[in-house]
Amino acid sequence: MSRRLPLWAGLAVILAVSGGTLFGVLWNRTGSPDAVLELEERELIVLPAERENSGRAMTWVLDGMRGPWLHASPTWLDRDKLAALGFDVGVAPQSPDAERHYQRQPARPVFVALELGGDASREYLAAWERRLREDAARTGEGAPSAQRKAEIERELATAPESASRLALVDADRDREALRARHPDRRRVAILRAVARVRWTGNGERPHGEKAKDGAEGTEPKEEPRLEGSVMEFSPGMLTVPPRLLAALEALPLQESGPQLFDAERVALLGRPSRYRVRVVFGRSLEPWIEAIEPLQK
Amino acid sequence: MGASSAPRNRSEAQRRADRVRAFREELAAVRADGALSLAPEQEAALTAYHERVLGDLSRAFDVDVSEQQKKVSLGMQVAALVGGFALAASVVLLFFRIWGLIPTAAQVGLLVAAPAAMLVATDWSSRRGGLRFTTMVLAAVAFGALLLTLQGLGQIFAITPTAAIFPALALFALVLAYGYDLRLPLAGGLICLSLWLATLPLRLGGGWWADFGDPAEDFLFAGAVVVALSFLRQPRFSDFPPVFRLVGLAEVFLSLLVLSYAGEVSQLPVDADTAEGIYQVASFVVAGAMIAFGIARRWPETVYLSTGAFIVYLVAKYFDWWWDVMPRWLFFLLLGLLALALLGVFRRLRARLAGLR
Repeated sequence: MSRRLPLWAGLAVILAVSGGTLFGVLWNRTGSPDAVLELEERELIVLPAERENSGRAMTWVLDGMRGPWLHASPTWLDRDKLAALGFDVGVAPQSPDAERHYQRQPARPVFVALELGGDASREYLAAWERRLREDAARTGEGAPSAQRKAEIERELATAPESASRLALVDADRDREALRARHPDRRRVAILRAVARVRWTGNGERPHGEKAKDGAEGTEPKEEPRLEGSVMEFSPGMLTVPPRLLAALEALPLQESGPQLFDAERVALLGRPSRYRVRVVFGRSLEPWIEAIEPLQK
Repeated sequence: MGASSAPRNRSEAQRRADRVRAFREELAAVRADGALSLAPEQEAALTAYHERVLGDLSRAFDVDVSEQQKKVSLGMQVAALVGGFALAASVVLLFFRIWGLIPTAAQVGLLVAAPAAMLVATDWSSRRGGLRFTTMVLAAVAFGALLLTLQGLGQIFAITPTAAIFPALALFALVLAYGYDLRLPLAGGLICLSLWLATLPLRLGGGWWADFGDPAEDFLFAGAVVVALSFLRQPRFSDFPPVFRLVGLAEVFLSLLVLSYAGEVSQLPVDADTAEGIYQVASFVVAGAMIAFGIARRWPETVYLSTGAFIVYLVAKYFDWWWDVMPRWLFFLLLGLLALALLGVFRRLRARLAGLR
């Protein structure tokens, strides 16, 4: 072996890997974008700052959830939809073989459609408001405290302006078919994600679901059923380009700290959004932040 | 050193140096017993020849020429391992500490330049005599820097993660391993290769690649492939096949352990309990077979690893079956007796292993 061969071979690998990656970025960012969405802080919140990381990133807020690891179980992801996504749902949930059958189903890469300001987000918000009003109206043992009642009133008052307008509306294995069903590129963005099917029974709660008292674990409950979920959105977060950080510096970003981030509220911000973000989804569906502008409200 | 006896790599050079040292010690013992006496000029010629051979080996391959040097080298190896990981972690953390303060173009430039600079440093170090451990550290940092390149570019540009990251890293690690005769990058490269192999069954079935390892049979497959690769002839790197076997078998044994206790992550067309039973039997059979195979093929590392796996399986099963039903004193008494029985088995094994050396 030539004494210089390892050096040249190693450099060739580094160049091929970096060059290939950067070529992919170039391809994604040139030509007509797949979609362009004008989002607000309520749909794309800044992640808490970290001491060891000088970069800042934003993450999606949709269907009452947020964060890089959000997962959703929308009602439209039923048995037929799961079958369309490639899952074998031929075994009835009540069958003795169901648990093992669905345990063996691998998660599947899919494309998902995120709709901005459509009926889905309005329906989600209405359902959430209904639940809050029911909570507030409860009497007897389950009646909320005066403090909680005031909190509910505040949340209901601010919800229309502070709840996310972004909703997960559809999924497909075929990107083109999904785009054909949702042709409005100013309102619907397509992302890559992962779909899973889960069988629940024997008192086991679906992933992330808690009992009314907030306890984890198992309890006797309804009939065995299938639950579909979508998770691992790609990307789970968007890095704010350094050139745009100045637009955020004027805002009190500490408000996007862990307290806000962990809050169990649909009207996450509890106040109007402070910035608008123009997000471009490229040809490979990899989005980037193109502009950030403050909102005067 | 004659051309016919010139070693092709560091491990051959080390073996030659060990032979010279053993020869000298034995010659001294033979002379002390009066069984042999060499003429002064013969002795001087032999001493001069060995000094020259050891000097050449030390300069060309940085071998250990004494027992003390070997012990120090072991410590240096541990220090290099820790240093390599620590420096690689430092490079990654430093980047994320500063990346928000520099423009995107500079971020990209740093990310691409870092592994290239560390590779050049590794190459330079490998050419300098006596810097074997420094080369190992620099190679580890170069590997860590390429990992950072892929991670950093992915984060800056929101790139969809793919399984292609594993063959890319494996290829770079193998270049470092074969180019600079280093076993640590070889192990790293084989682990990356295994991760990629583990994604194959999932991806072929339309599954999400990042769920590799669930089912755990994916790693069973990957480990078996890595063990099979150890049969490739690589005469210039005679100490590399044991690394293939160690990495591959470790994956196989770990997968079998997981499958023995979590049948639900198996793809076997049987219920979870039956799958666990099948893998419990398989784990003992595979470990036992690999001990026998290792002895037959004179592969000490295979025998040691398989024996370790066999003991872990045995103790785990013993605990499973008896912990709840036995009084504690009886449990530990029987465990002690089991250990004594194992000692008897290993004594016989040890006698057979003596033949491997």
